[in-house]
Amino acid sequence: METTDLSRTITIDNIAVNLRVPDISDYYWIGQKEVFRLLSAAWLKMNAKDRIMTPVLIGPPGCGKTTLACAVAKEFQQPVYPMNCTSDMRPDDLLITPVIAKDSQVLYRASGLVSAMVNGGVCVLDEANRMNEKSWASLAALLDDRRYIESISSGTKIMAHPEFRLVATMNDDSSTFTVPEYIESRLKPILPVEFPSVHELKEIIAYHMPFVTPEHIQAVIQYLDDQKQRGSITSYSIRDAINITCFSSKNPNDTLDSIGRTILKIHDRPVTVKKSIFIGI
Amino acid sequence: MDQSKINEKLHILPYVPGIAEYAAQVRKEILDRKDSDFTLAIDLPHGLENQVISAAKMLPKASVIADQLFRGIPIIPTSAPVEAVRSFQESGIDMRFIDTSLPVTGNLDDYRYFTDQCRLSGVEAVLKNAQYYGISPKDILRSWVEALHGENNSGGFSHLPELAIGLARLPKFDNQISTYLQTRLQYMAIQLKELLSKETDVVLVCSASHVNGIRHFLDAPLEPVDDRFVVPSRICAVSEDDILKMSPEVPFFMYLYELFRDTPVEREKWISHVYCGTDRTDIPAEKIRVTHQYGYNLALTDKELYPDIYNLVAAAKYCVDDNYAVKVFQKLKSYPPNERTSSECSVKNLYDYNFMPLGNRRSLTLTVSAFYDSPEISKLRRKIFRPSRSICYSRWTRTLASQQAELDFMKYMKSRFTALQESSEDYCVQEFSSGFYDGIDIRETIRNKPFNKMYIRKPAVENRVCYVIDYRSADLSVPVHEPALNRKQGSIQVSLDTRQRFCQTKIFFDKNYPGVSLAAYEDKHYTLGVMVTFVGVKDDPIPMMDELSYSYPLESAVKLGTKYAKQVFVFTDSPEEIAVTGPDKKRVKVLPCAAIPPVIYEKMREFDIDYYRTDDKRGD
Repeated sequence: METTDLSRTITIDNIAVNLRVPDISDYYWIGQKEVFRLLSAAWLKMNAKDRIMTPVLIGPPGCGKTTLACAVAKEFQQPVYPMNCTSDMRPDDLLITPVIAKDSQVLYRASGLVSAMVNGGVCVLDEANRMNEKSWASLAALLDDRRYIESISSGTKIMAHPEFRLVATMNDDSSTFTVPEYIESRLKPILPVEFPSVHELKEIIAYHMPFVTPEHIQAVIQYLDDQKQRGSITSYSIRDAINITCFSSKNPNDTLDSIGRTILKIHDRPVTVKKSIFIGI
Repeated sequence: MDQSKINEKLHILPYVPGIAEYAAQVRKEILDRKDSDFTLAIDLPHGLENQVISAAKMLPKASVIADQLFRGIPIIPTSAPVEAVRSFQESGIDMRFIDTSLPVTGNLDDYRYFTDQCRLSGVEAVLKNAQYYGISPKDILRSWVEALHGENNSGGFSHLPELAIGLARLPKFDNQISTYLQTRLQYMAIQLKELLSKETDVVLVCSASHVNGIRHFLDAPLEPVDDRFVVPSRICAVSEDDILKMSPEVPFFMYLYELFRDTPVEREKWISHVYCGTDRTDIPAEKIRVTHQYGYNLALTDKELYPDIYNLVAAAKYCVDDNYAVKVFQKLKSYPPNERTSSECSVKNLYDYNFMPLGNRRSLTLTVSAFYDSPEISKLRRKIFRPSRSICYSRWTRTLASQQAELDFMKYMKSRFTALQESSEDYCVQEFSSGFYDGIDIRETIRNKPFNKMYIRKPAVENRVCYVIDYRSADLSVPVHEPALNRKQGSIQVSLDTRQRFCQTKIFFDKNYPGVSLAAYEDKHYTLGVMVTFVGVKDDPIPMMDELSYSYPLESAVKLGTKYAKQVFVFTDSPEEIAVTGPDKKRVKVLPCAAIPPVIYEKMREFDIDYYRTDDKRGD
């Protein structure tokens, strides 16, 4: 499908709505075949009456939830519309936003979600648990049999394309709203995404940076593991590993430790002396 | 023999091992032909006839016939060859086992050498490092070695016997197969030829993976195979838990097949029965429907029509929760006839005669709380351990450094661990940019009319959270002393309980943020054990102290948090002590203590008091 076709202006209920362009990045999933299969199964549709599920991907930041969603969407050969959710996101932002143009006219811009609904694409609601209840409520009809949304600001009702798929990613970060129960019951299945194994991590870094030697990648992973064992960091993400590898390969004069400290924000902390505790009975 | 004559006399019933649909198909075909004259050829090893018949007689009690080469024949109701044997027992038709119990290559010396090595070093070690033990995996054991490392590549859609009977989709014969399998196929072809040379028709009940191999050798001139040696085997009883490891079929479906043996296999109904029949009344019908759908979708991604036990449990886990998945798993793996039987051999180490794993080898982790009390136990616990009531308390004032430490600690926690919720009462007004939020604020818009600006109302966001910090496992910079026996009533609340080392007494704070704690103390120095502190909660902390328990410090702290706050963040290194169930589960987020930087974490750990107060004014 051509991108220019997808970013057209459409008319719904006599309102002109401008659609967004899908994401054109190239996504490729390495390792963890099972979670790929689990997500693919959630999006399978066997006949016209079959209801497509809305899965949730949960896992720590930087473990590849968004990449997984986009990679599976690519497997389904559908345009991808990632949307980053925030705590102050309103139903308008999530659906159709009225914008004042230069000639004082109100223009309606469709979000990635609505664009995906119209074009039969996949919408990835990134960090969806940061959204407030009001925004979730505007999706309730979309997530069940009804498969439509109603935009209050534009006064339109939009039916989802039969091939429209939605996935929400949520991480363990604590700064979040609670997902309302009636929405949670519509978001099934809940699929955990875990960090890749060391071997998979090497493959991932090598895929993103084919010019870096395997020894260099090994050294970065070793460094991160050492920091984790020392307690300087509680965990590290794939993104951290890629960033350190990328930065260190471009700055050969800097040590891995200094680059790692900058990227991971490791600070020296006072050494605590462990003392034995006497406990009387 | 002429090919057309073979086709005329030979009727092949291919099967996929263990699957109920094939067993039903074999039974139906045999019973349909019972009035005609035919011989039943089954691809089970000859020499084991008596053992198979004896074990089949014990059905529905399942068992396995295991030999010294760790090969096993599961005697289960849904096994097609076993069903053929049972039909033979019922109708008295002529039957012959046409496979051979060849010891590895057919060479007795090789076999003896191999078993000796296995006995000394273990079969896994010998197979993984075969050349070291003088065994050539290329020629002798390739099929076995490959089975250990590879996956069973079945043709898919194994629940459709009609598809398997159409021979087009059966695995093609491969010339590169191991000597072991080639010899067996040749042997079966010889046996079959012998049967076909007689007047009667032959019905061959044969594994789908062997059909084309046998047909291939039926046309070829063959040398006789030495079949004098039969590997010693025995009938082993199996426990209910081990039945799962013997077959890809679901044990509970084996039982249902046995119960309704002469009726069609209704796998869809059986799956519905399992999902709907668990004693979880709190699961809405919609969730069960989604679980169903997801189970079937998972099966399709495995190129199967119906989900196996792994996919059924995975669907329950990901669509409902782990507790439901455990119940589903328990139901699926149950096989009542073997309920009180213990295994007489290690079933998980057994392979089939092609050296492929017998059962499903995928694994799934299910987590359930071991500390969850049943409603009856909870009732008893409440009855026996009645909550104590506060008798008295006194107030003190902390040192300035301690008060500042609290402010620093809470500042960090509030910025990092939040649970924002929109207030139903408060709102804020802001200039319109995009989106009307809760509508236009008329007053502010009129006030700013000269500037031609529009103002809209936006609900205020409130953060009503509780932090439970479990300090008990942390290292102390100074040792904690046991309290003196005649300790004075100088702390906030009197308690004689010293069962928990850091939980000698209960204290509360109400100056900056309300909170209660279990703490240890020495003179004017306090060390916290479990701390519960609130943000955005205006309740009085004094009655909260009654709800903290010395016996279950962390559990009671979490319960207290869920009572007063919308979201509870628990920082502990002992998450197993927390038993939260039901709707509270999603309001409690358990994190390791390391989630708080050590410098911040230690700030609130210890504090000193400046002086005791005699008044009861709020503050500190």
